[in-house]
Amino acid sequence: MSLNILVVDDSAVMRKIIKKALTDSKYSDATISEAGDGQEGLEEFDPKQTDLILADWNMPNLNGLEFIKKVREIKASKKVVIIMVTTEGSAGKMEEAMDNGVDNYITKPFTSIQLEQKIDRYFSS
Amino acid sequence: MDQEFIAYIHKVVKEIFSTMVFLEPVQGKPVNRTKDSNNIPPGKKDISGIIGLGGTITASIIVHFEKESALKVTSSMLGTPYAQIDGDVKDAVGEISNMIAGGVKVELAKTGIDLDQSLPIVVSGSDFDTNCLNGDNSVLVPFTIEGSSLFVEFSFKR
Repeated sequence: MSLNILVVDDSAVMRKIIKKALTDSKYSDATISEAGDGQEGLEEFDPKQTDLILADWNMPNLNGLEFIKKVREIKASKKVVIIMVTTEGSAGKMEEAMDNGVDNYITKPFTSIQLEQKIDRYFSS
Repeated sequence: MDQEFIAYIHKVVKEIFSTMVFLEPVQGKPVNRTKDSNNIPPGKKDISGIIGLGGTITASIIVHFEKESALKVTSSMLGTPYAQIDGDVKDAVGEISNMIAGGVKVELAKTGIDLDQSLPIVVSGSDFDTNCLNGDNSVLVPFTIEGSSLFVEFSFKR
């Protein structure tokens, strides 16, 4: 299954790390687009094509949580899975994210295997 | 000196380096940072990532890298060699600082100290200094990475 994945993180280094992890995983054939903040993320998000969003929380202009709220307001033709990839690892922050449309959560630092396993929960078949 | 903060920093740095940097940081002896001296030897601080923390307490975390340690960390994280401090190296320093602050913040949340963190600010140069919030409540935790230096500075007001 070839996924369309949108990576939203204000760190270009982190986007490179995530893209390399995906390229080295079973999702190596994914089409990956990227954005440097939530506002750019909204511009890159394609409600007809995007299968998965990997989004940071703390970003300039439009932070990850506000970005996700706006994505969930957009009528998409298919279920978009959103996984937050962030340093915000407290139980309270995770709960806040889940309450606002996040499907799953991975805290930085993370391994490539941990990222792949999170995605597997939705797209492994 | 607050041993709990030092323990959090040791734990978080070890976790970050083992999962995403793939280098072994060697712990040094922590010292209290004073108002008049940053306790970092000359030539051992070329680029620093600064994170502000606010909430139950006011705090900051500054991660000081010697040039060589910043280059080694970035090269190892991205799997490609870096010889000069460029945009990727500055970005990596910011992200490492961000992850250290985030990890310490999670540990503090378990003790009832809830904090929000700022976006990272990265400064670099041959001669700069950083002033902490309160020299009486500031600890400098040193590490070496294959012989080059990295310092994590945690300052706070209760």
